[in-house]
Order: sequence, then structure tokens, then C-alpha cells
Amino acid sequence: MAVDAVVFPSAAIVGNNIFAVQTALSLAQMGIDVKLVTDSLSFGCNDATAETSVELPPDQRYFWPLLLRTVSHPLVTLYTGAQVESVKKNDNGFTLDVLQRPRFVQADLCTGCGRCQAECSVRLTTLVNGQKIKHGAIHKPLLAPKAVPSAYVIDKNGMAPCRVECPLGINVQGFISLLANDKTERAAELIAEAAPLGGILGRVCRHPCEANCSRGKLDTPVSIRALHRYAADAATAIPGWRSATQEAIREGRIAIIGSGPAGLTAAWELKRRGYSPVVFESHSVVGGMLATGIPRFRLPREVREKEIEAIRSLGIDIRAGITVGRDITFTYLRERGFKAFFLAIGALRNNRLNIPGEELDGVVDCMSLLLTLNLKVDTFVGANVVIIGDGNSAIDSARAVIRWNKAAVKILSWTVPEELTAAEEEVEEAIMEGVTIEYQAMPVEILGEGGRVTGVRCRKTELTNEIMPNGRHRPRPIPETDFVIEADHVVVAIGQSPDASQLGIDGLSLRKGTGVIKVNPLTLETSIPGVFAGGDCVTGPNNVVEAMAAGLRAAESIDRYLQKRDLAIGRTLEPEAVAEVDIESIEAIPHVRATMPAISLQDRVSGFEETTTGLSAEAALQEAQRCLNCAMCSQCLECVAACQLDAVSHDDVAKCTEIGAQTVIRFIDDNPAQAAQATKCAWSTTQDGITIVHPQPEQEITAQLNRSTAVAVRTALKIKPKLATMTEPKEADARLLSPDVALSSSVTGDAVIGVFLCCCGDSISSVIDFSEIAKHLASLPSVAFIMEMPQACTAEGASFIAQKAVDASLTGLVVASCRCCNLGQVCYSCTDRRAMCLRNLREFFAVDSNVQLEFVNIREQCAWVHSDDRNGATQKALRMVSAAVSTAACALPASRSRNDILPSALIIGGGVTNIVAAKALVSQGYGVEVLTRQPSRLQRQGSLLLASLGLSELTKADIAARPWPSSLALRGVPGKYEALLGGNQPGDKVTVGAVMIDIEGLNKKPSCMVNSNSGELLSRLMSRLRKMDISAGVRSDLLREVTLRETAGLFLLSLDADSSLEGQVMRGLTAAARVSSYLSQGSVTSRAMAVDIDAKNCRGCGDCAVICPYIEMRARESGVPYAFVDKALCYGCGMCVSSCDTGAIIQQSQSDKHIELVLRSLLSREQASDMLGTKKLAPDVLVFACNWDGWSCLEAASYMELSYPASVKVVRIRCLSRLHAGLILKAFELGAEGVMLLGCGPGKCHFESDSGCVLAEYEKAQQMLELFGMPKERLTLSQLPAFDGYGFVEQVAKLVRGLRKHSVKRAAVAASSRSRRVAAVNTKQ
Amino acid sequence: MIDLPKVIKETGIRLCLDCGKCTVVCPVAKYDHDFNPRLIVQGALRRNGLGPVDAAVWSCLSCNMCMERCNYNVKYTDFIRSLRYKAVEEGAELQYTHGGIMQTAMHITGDRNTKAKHLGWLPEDIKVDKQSDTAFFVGCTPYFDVVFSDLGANTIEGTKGALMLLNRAQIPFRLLDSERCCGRDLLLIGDLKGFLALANANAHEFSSKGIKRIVTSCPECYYTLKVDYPKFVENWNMQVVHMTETIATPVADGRLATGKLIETVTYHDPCTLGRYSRIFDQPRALLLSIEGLKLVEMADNREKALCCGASPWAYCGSVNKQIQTERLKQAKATGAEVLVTACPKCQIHLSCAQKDASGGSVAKVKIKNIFSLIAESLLA
Repeated sequence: MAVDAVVFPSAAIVGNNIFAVQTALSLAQMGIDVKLVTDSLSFGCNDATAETSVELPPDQRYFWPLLLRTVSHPLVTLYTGAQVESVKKNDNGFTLDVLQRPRFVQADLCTGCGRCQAECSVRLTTLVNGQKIKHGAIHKPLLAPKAVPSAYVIDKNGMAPCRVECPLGINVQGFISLLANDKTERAAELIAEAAPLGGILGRVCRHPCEANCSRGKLDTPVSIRALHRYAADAATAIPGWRSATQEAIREGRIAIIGSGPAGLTAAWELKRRGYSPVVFESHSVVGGMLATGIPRFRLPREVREKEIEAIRSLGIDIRAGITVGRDITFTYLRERGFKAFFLAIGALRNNRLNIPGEELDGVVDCMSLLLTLNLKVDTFVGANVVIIGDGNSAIDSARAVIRWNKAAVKILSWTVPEELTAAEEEVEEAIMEGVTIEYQAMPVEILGEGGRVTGVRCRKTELTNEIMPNGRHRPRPIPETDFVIEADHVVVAIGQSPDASQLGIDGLSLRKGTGVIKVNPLTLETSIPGVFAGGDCVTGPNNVVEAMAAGLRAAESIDRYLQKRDLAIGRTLEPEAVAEVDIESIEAIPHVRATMPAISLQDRVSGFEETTTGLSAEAALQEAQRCLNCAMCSQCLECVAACQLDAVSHDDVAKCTEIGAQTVIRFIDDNPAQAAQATKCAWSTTQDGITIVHPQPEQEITAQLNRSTAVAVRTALKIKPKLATMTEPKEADARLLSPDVALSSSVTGDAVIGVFLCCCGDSISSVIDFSEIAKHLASLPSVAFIMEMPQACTAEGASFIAQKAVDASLTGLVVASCRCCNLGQVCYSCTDRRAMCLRNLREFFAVDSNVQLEFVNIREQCAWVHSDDRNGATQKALRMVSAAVSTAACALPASRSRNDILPSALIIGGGVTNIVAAKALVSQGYGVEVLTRQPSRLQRQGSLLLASLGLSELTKADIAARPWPSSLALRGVPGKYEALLGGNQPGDKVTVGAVMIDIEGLNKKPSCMVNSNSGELLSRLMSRLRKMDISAGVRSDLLREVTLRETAGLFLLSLDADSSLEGQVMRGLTAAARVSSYLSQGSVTSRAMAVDIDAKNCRGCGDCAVICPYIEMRARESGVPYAFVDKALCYGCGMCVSSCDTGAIIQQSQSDKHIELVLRSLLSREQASDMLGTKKLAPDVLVFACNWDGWSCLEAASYMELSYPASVKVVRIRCLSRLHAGLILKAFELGAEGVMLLGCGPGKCHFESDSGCVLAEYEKAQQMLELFGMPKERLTLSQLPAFDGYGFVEQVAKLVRGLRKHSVKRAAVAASSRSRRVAAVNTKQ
Repeated sequence: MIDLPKVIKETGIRLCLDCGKCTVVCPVAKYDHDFNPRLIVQGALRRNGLGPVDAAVWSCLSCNMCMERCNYNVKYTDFIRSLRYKAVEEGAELQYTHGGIMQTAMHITGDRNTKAKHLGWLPEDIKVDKQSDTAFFVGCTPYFDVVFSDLGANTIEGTKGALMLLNRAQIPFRLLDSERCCGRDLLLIGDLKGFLALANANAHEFSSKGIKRIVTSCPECYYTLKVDYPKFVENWNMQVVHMTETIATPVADGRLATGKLIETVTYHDPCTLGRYSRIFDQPRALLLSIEGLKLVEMADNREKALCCGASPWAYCGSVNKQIQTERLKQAKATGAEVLVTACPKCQIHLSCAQKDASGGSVAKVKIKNIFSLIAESLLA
């Protein structure tokens, strides 16, 4: 046999539903390493970008707490966003290759405060369960109100086409989304992250972005260039760099020759990288073509100068008027230590027509003309001008000439209107301004007279099918079509070529014919190492944006060159993948494209003033909102700035992970093809040995959960035949900061309370005014300090709190954050952040420490639901925090008992189920006693079944069965139960840690149960069970176990519909898993909420024992009986407390006194009056919410972003049945105008109380109200399903409406009686 | 501020001889060995009323049994009450039974804005004279019957019976809708502020309606309005009469004929009517006027009558239960079918003691209000 003893038992579970989670927990509890894999980004929910859809959890009441427990189990590892690519079988089991999608937010850091979403500039709509949910590109998991991890997610859809198309890589969608949110400065900053010269680009860029804009597929593209210009013009400050600013100064002198767009951009980028380049400009004006080529009416001088000045002000040395090759030589520069060069000399040598007459007086090239006109040098311009060429320079020249002296201007174009080289809108403008164009005319000779030009002889052309390199058809002259156009001035504008030879650089390769510099297209390196070239001198005449892009590319190369890195690695000329967009699915705001406003035609042609005036703020906002955000996240990085924990990481990428596991279980969510089969068979195994579990939607959730546990047990038996002791995660022992510091209230007896207000990344502090709270709390004598802190839920937060607590020797502390209770419970309203908050704090403050921890949830219960009423929210928060201060100041640490659990179990009842359970428990090393009627036959039968199911290991476990007793009585306390067996041997008894009772077995032979002593546990449990529907009883028992890990070690097996033998085996395995999970705890500690009964005060009326099966009446000498409860049994619902007239039952942490203190603080009117600007908007309403469904409704309201008046305050209690009429009326006494009792629906109570308990008290309180002359409608009882946020808000609104009506009526009555009195007084007089 | 040395002087506890008779007769001390009236007095004297108040003060029933036996007329219950005021001043927590509902009700009705409507129970055949200057003070029975509905004490029947008797005796009276609780329970537990709110509201109500005389069937209201109000309320000059006194003459001279009821009853003297107000004979005379009714006395009766065992909705435990059990045992021992009392609170407390879900051995006897019994005799 192969030696593979060291393989740690492990299982991979693929699936995202309650059943997968239950299996994971059961396996982990059996000591198996569990890898829980889902392709969703969170468990408990699905998110918009997940590929498969997962239904909402069937019952969150079970699912959520189960999930929280599972994910916090140390043996469970989560793999979210993980698509299983392949499963391979190997010697040790399986290897799963998974591809993990990035979530772009670090799950362990994100606290879910929501600030990022508030700042997110993109709004998306997602259809979730038929409902449209609006959210930011960064958002919390969408499908369920809660998820693990609860961290935010960013929806990304690759890169927007506009950004991909931009040669400079400007984040176009990003700056547009910022403009759409009216964040102009930020937009300008974002543009400046990619490139300088924003105002110039916004005017003269060729805007390839617009051609590919997704909106163009819908109607017309977004006017991106106009928005670019708007952002640059409207930003008041010249934006600097935000990210990637290079602090370090880098060595290496760099010469940039030419100060055009390419040269300036290269200088700018190199400066950012820490270099100090020197720019040489041969002209006296800086800017190259920006200054000399582009006429002023398109690019005003002020704009150019401002932006060049901005570059200069970065510390870039620009030396104008120095021509390299003439004034200084390249060799000289080398000698002076320049290591790298960027040649950006442009293309300034005009191409010649090479036709007769080109040397005539009055024939000029367009570059010279534009230069003189631009720089306002007095120059000759004729009255009848012909411009040869149809490029942008030709159009610019034509328009400039019109402006100069209103000359008649005619452009000669070789080709047809559709194929002009110049930009369409420029041509349109030119025609509008009076330029005429002669199409399909080729000049063949310039005519002259006396050395002066008089006209141009042209020949008609026609298009051939030959396509030229620029993508147009080649025109061909048609013979004998000559005609003459008169002219007194001819401008040749047929393109330029670079003149690199003038530089005098030896060894610089130029392309023949065009004269452009030869470069490596990727690195822009010339034939000389260290010498790079870009812009028009490489491409021939091109445009500004391409030149700038070359500048950036060259800067990167130069940086690499100087750092001696490879110039090419990691760079590509391939464009980025463009986002795929389903245009149909996007909701577009139906605006039409903004038109660029321009000055009047009259003004245009009479001067060189800028033609267009730029978008107005309103137009820009509207235009920006036309953007479809086709790439979802716009990467505007507002979330990065908003996050105080640096949790956002836009650079995340998908990664491949390998998961090794001995076994794989896959949970199928929804597969109609297999559904029919699934009803017959709960699970199947593939040929490879992968277990597949099918849904059985028609089964009750309890049965489905049990099945999940059974799957776990079966799996465990296979991969780990000898199960070790099952483990539950234990609460870590708290470490005290310093044992010398007494953190004890017992020293002085005076309370010293510290208050910590959690900003929650501003999510709380942006609504609630902490200074106002601090101001009022400071007057409370017990408050030592009030402190704001950024995040209370982090480990740093906890250690900060602990340090302050030690420094100030606190006796109690109040943390106002998102956490809502100090109990270790996992109720279904809890969140993973809340659980983490308590876990972190418990590192320092043990459960039984003397420091009283109090939590107030001012986030969900206050800031989030009253964000529309900040003053009201602040007032409410103040009251909530003061309530916590007062309870922290008077609370006594609850005394808690601890019982050891014996490692053995008693199984009562016959049947295969019990035999199987017994065998499973024995195989795990627990002592087991079985009471069954036919032990040997059943054992045989059980063994056969187990063997037939492939669980033959289990058949080896030997169990001892006892004969069926004639009577049976059970007594004891959790951890140690004694069963007295009547029968052959009197006094026979069994002592065990847990008891499992099969109701089925008992029902068949009930006479064996002794029911004489009312103090005995079993009979009490039995009588309780008889009162209710058994399946319902077991159901809530399970819920309790799930949520609170609360079992007393008494397990009742219900009658099960599935009576097949296989079903019974599974039932037995499930039961064994539950029992051993309990036994493995080793000891059981009473709950903090457990009650104490003061025997002296107890009148022995027995009311409590009637309601609670765990309370027993005991006799005392005086004859007056008294009630007793073992604390370990008490669930702390508090129902007995309200039933006790004498007050003998005390529940330390929710005594009447505590609740009264809370009510006093919440309903206090003292602070209200001196708060400025306070106006009472709504009547004071107090909600008593039960811990379970009631509280979950409030939570849901908060998560659904509903709101209700801030005058509605909430007291949370364990169960509505804890309330008695006295407490309800107390709320009215203390000033509540309305009271709502908010609890679970009938039959849904977490503690199995029937709603009758609170109903009686509710009716009693209503009758009292009527006696007081108050309408009984002031008190309402709302029994809502869990998570019914809408229901709650609706009911509260109804109550408030009723109260308003009433108070109006009352005010009217008061007014009329006052007027009557006044009248009476008047008559007397 | 309570000046305890002054109280010590006024209540005459310096006269205490330390003889211990008070403790011997004290029903609480009998069952609670930590409670010792003599030691409370002696302790207070030793410290001249200084120092913290003994927590035992809350256990006193104010039944006045001790005063009955004290040879030197030490005003023990007054003294205990003063100790409670002091404790409250020092911030002691008040204790409540029944979740404090009675105290809360008193506080709510003590509010001037509360316009109570507590006369919904009033039978239509009761004639009320709205012009009368005599008011019948109902007290808390309508509230009791809501709060203690599970006991089935039906205390309102006593009130109804009393009103019927007034009608029969042709004594005119009116009912005041906004009458408040007399406040006795707050006074006894030391909640002076709450008591004054109620007392002043009541006084204002009476004077504004021109009331000169108050009849009440509740011994607690009777004693409080008659004895305590003059001490706390300015210009209180109301004539306060107990129902038994009001109808004593009409019954005696035959103007009000009582009916016939063949029943053996025993009469339980409420502390406030008996020991406090010294009304022992009138109720018995009324009972004996019923034809066929046989009155038997319990072992402890009249001045020595055992208290019903509960203080003002403040403290009630196993000790109180034992006192009540003993009283019920005494009643049972007489062979009477019905225990009759004049106080609704005695009705409630003794009924409560019979509630025993655990199947204990408390003696069971019917409990009735004297006025409902007389009314019953008339209707029989």
C-alpha cells in the first residue's frame, strides 16, 4: 500500500447556496479543510457581473447566520469570483484550476462604508430579480442585502473605445464622467494625468475618439473635444500631476530639439519622470506649429502662451532662438554631456509643385504665409487668392487670408468633395466664411506677367480606382480640359517635408524621397543609439495629437535608455481591446449633441478672433451626461481618493489558482435537464468521483439542510475513515494589554466611560454631527472622553480603543458604529464587519472582563435611514449614544456558568436511524448507549445498509445496546444528563453528555415514559412537544442552533417523511454530525442573556414554568415553592421575566431598569430644545423591535436605502414576549407619542413563543390607554416577515400619520377651548 | 429634604423601650428573619438617622400591627415612610412589582394633560346627580381590573355595588371623569413628587367642580384623602366619608333595606380601614343586616387582623406569599364560604395568593367585596 499518510483531509465545494454552505460547515466541523468555491464575487448573493445567476437564498433566516459561522470557521477558505476551468484527477484526489475574477477592492480592507460609491461618477442600472437597481460602478454586492465578503466591487467592461482610440491614452470616459458630475477641476486634473496642453488639444485635436464613440452607434457621438476644451478652460488652477509624480531627481542630460507639440510633450513627460531636459527651439517663438502653423482664430495666442508657460513653470528649460546645426552643433551637445536626444524638428520644408511659374512673384508657400499672418508681420496679400492644396494648411491659409483683407479666395483641389484631406468641419466653416473650392482641378502651370502672377492654368481630373497610401482614390488628369483661374496671389499648400539634414548629424538615416527620419516605430529610436525622433519629422505633416503621442513614446524610450533598460520589452503598438457594449441595454439620456457656439460670421471674417467660444457650463454638463459609460467604471479614480483604507485597486487582474482537494462536491443550482432525476436521487457521483448535489426545491428547508449535513458526513467517511474529534472554532482568550493596569470597576465603584464615535470612512460622520454629540455628552458625569475614530471594526481600531481604555482606566466603553449588540450571537441581521468588530475587540476585552462594552448602531439605524434629515439624525444619534452611556455606567457583568460536557451520548429509540447514528458516533471515539427494542436485528440491518452504501468502515464500529427499560426518567443539566432506567436491574442509570431522542420510536411505545415528577427534564420537553407541531418544533430548534450555536445537548429527531432505508441512514448520519458537533465543544457556557431567579422574591406561582420548559418548580421548607432554572439551559428570551409579577426573575442585560434607562435617554427632550435649528417635524415614536425578524426589518430598510422620520427611535429586545404592559406604558409616560411593537409573524418566533404572550400585554396596554383617555391607536403591533423593510417603513408612516391627525385634532380642541375661555373672560368683563 | 433627626423626634421613636413586641407581632418578621422592626428603629437611633438607609425598609407592609402593640405609641410606620423618603432622596432605586405598571399609570394620570376616560364601566341604571356637591371617588378599580384581569378579582363590582347602594339610599352624588388616583401607593414608597402631582390635580378638580364632600368605598382612598391630603395639599377642607359610614345610618333606620343571602362569610379587616381608620363595626353591622347571612370571625380579627400581605405594588415575595397563605388558612378554618373585605387591594392580593400553577397547598376560598355582596343580596 502506498504511503500517503500526510495528506491533510480536504474537500472542495463548488456552489453558492445554503446547502453548499451547510455541507462546508459540517465538513469543517469534522476537521476537514474546506475550500468553498463560487464564481460569484460574494457568497450569499450574486452580483451584476457574475456570469451565472444565483437565486436569492431561500430563507435568509437560516442562510445568513449559517454563512457567517461557516466563513469564520478556521478550516474554511473562500474562493470568490472563481470560475472552475478544469478538474483533474490525480493520486491525492483532484486539482481544480480556477480563474479568479478581480473585484478591484481588497476584500479584507473594505469596511463597506460606501463613501466610494457616493463619490463614484458613474451611475449604472442593473436588473436584479426584475427590479432595476441604480448603483455606482463601484458598489456593494447587489443581489442580497448581505454578502460575504461584504466588500465593494467595481464593474468594469474593459476600456472605452474613446480611450483606446486616443493616441495619448487620455481617460476620456473618466474626465467626461467627472464633468457629468460637475467636477470640472477634477476632470482637468485627470486629463493632465495623461497629457499636457489641454486647452490646445480641446481646440485643434483631430479627435479620433469621437469617431469611435459608442453613443455614435445610438445617435451622434459625444462631443468629446468640446468637453476637453471646456475642462481645460473652466479649470481655474493649472493642474499638476497627482499620481506617478517622480520625486527623485534622475541623472542624464537630455536635449530635445524642437518645441512643437512632440518636443514639449516629451519634455513634460521626462520632467515628470525626474529628468531635466533642455528644449532647443530655432524660432524665437516657442510652440512650433502651434505658434507658426495654426492660425489664431483656431488657437488663440493667449491659450498657447498659457499652456506653454505651464510647461515652462514645471522647471523645463526652453531655449528659443537656437538652431541646432547652425548655432550649435550636435557634437558640441554631446561634448557638453547630453546623453539622449529627441529630434522633433517638424516638417517645415514646403513641397514644391514642380510646375512652370512656381518662381513667379506672388507665389508663396503656405507655411510662410501662415507664419507671417499668425505673428502679424505686415505682409502682402492679394485680393484674388488661389490656394493650391486641400489639406488643413490650405483651409487654414484660406481662412486666414479672408480675415486679413477680405480677399476672394479659391481653393484648388485635385479630388472630389468627399475625399478632401482637410477635416470636414474646417471645410464647412471655410465655405461658410466665403471660401470657394474648385474641385477636381489640377494646376499645370502658374501664369504670370512681368514676373508677377496672374493666374493658374488647371486641368480637370477624374478619380481612378487606385487607392493611395492615405486611403483616397488617385485622381488622374483628363487631357484637353485645361482652363485658367485668375489670381494675383497663389499659395502653395501641398504639404511639407522635414529637413533633417540641416541638423548636421552624421549617420542619421533618412527615408529617401520624403526625407523623414527613419525610426523604430515602437521605440522611435533612430539609426543612432540614444537619438530618438518623433512628430512630423518622422511621419511627415500630421496632427498635434499624434505628435504629442510621439513625445510620450519618446520620453518612455529615453527613460529606458538612460536607465539602461530594454527599449522594447513590454511595449506594443497593438491597440487595447475595446469594451464590448450592448448598446440596447443601456439607458441613454435623450439629449442631442451639443453644437459648438461660434461668433457671428461678420465678426469672424473681420478679424483673427477665435471663431468658436466653447460650451457653456450647462451645455457641457448635458453633453457629458450623454456619455453611455460603455466601459462601466470610468476609472476617474474618485473612489481611490474617497477610500480612507486604500482598499481600491484598479490594477487588479484575473489570476489563475490551483486548488487541491481530496474530493470535490458540486452543488447544482438550477438545471432543468437534471431536475426530474433530482427528485428521485438527492445526489449522484460522476465517473471521476465528483459528487453532484441537485436541488430539491419541494423539500422543506430543514430536510434540505439535513441532507447537506448527510452529504458532508458521507464525504468525510470516505476521505477520512477515522474521524478525529470534530471542532468548533473557540473564542480566543482575550489578551489584556497590560496585566498591571486594573481595568476594573470594582476599584472605585464609579463608572468611567469612554465614548468612541466611528466615522466609518465618513459614511456616518457626513450625516451626523459628531461635535454636537460630543458637546452634549461631555456634561454627563460618567463620561471620561469622547473620541472620533476612522474605523472601529479594524484590528487597528480595536487596539486604538483598547489603548485608550487602559490609559483612562475605563470601566465601560461605548462604541457608536455599525455594530449593534455586545453578544456573541450571530443573528440574521449581523454583518461580517460587525462580527469582525467584536472579534477584534474581544482580543482585548474578554467576555467576563470588568469592562462593559456597549455598541450603538448609528450607521444603519441612524445615518443611513435619516440622511435626508441631518439635524434629526444627529439628535437621534445623541440620544442613542447617551442611552448606551447610561447602560454602560450601571451594568454589572453578567455572571456566567460553565459546565463540562461528558463525551458520551444516549440514544433513545429503535430504528435504523439510531443504529447508524450510534455507529457514526462510536467511530469518532464517543461513548454511546443505545436503548432499542430489537438491538441485534437492527444492528444487522444497519450494517448491511451501510455496507451497501459503501460505508463499510462504519459497520466495524461496535455499539452496546441496552434492553428497552420499563420506565425511563431523565434529569440533569447541560453537559451531564442522567437517565434512570427501570427494569431488570433497579437503580440502573446512565450518565451522558448528550441525549438523542427519536420521537418516532417513543410514539410507538409511550408507556415507557415516566411522567410523574414535574421537575424532570424529559417529561417537560415531551409535554412541550406534544403541544405543538413536531416538525415546527424541530425546525425552530435547528434555527436556534444555526444562529446561536445553542443546543442544550438534547436532540429530538422528528418524524421524517423520507422513510426509505437510505433516507434513514442519512438521517442517522446527520444526527450524529449534530451530536458530535455539540460534544466536541467540551464545555457549555451560559449565555449572557440567561436569567437569574431570586428565590427569596419568588412567590412560587409557577407562571414562568408554564411558559418555559426549562424552568422547574422546586419545593422549599416553608411550603412556598420556588422556580429554578439552570443557566446553561436558558436561551434568554426574557418571556419569563415579563410573566413574573414580583420581579424575582432578573435578566441582567435587559432588566426593566435597563430598558427604562434607555427609554429615558431616547425620549429625553432636554437636549432637543437647545439644539439650534431644531423643529419638531414628526411625533416621537418608540419602536420595541425584537432581536430577530423585527430588527431585520429595520436593517432591511437601511440596506434598501429607505428612510423614515428621525423621531422614530428603537429599543431592541430579545423577544417581544419580554415586554409587559408596564414597560409599554413606561414609554408613554416618558414622552413617546406612539409606540410600535415590531416582531416576528405568528409562528415565526425565534423562541417559539406564541404571539399570545405579547398580544395579551399589548391588549392590556391598549385598554389602559383608553382609560387614560388616549386613542388606543397610539400603540400598534406589527408582525412582519423577516427583512420586510418596506413593510416597516409603511407601518411606521401609518402610525405617524395617525398621530399627526390626532395631535392636530388635540391642538384644535385646545385652541377652541382656549377661545371659549377667552370669550368667557370677555363676557365677564 | 427629610430632616431625619426631626422625624425621629416627631415619630416618638426615642420612646422605644427595645421591648420587641413590634417584632413579635410583625407578620413580615415572622417569615423573614432578616426583617426586624425593633432593630431598624434601634439602628436609626444609634446613628441618629444618619448613614445609609437599611434596605429592609422596603419590606414593611405598613400594616400598622406594630403600633397596635406598642405601649409607647411609637409611630413606626410613619418613621419607616420617612426613611423611604430619605432613601429616595439619596438615589435609591424604587422597587416595583407587576413591572411598575401601577406606578406608570399613576405618573401618566398625574400629568395635567391626561384627560382620563375611566367611567366606561358605569352601568346605565346608576343615577348620577351632576349638580350634587357630593362626589363619589371611584379610585383605581377600573385600572385594577385591566391589570389584574387574569386574577378575576373583578374589583369594579365592589364599586358598582357601592353606587347602587347610594342610589337605593337616595343619597345624591356625582362622578368626576378626570378624577385621579389618590396617590397613596406613591406616598408609601417615597415617590413624593408623583404623589403631589396626583393630589394637587385631584384637589384642583374637586374645588373647580364645587365639591364639598367625598364618599369612597376604597379604604386606601378614604384614609389618604382624609388624613394625608390635609398634610400635603393647601386649603384642603373636604369632608371625606367612607361608604360604610355613609350607609350605616340608612341601613340602621331601615331607609336602605338590605336583601337576603344564605351564606356563611368571614370579614377580613383591611389595615387602612381597621387599624388606621378604626372602622371595625360598621362593615360587620352591614353584613349582619343581610337576612340569612352568617358571619364568622377569623382567628385574627379587628385590631389584630392579619394584613393581606402586600405593600404598595413595590415588594412582594415568598414572605408575602406566606402571610397570605396564613390568612387564607385562617379563613378556611372558619368554615366560611366567602371571605369578604372592603378593600379592592386585599381582594387582589388574596386572589393572587391562590394562583398556584405548581399545584401547591394554598387554601382556596371565594373572595368578595362587601358592597358587591350587599348589592347581590338586594338582587337575589
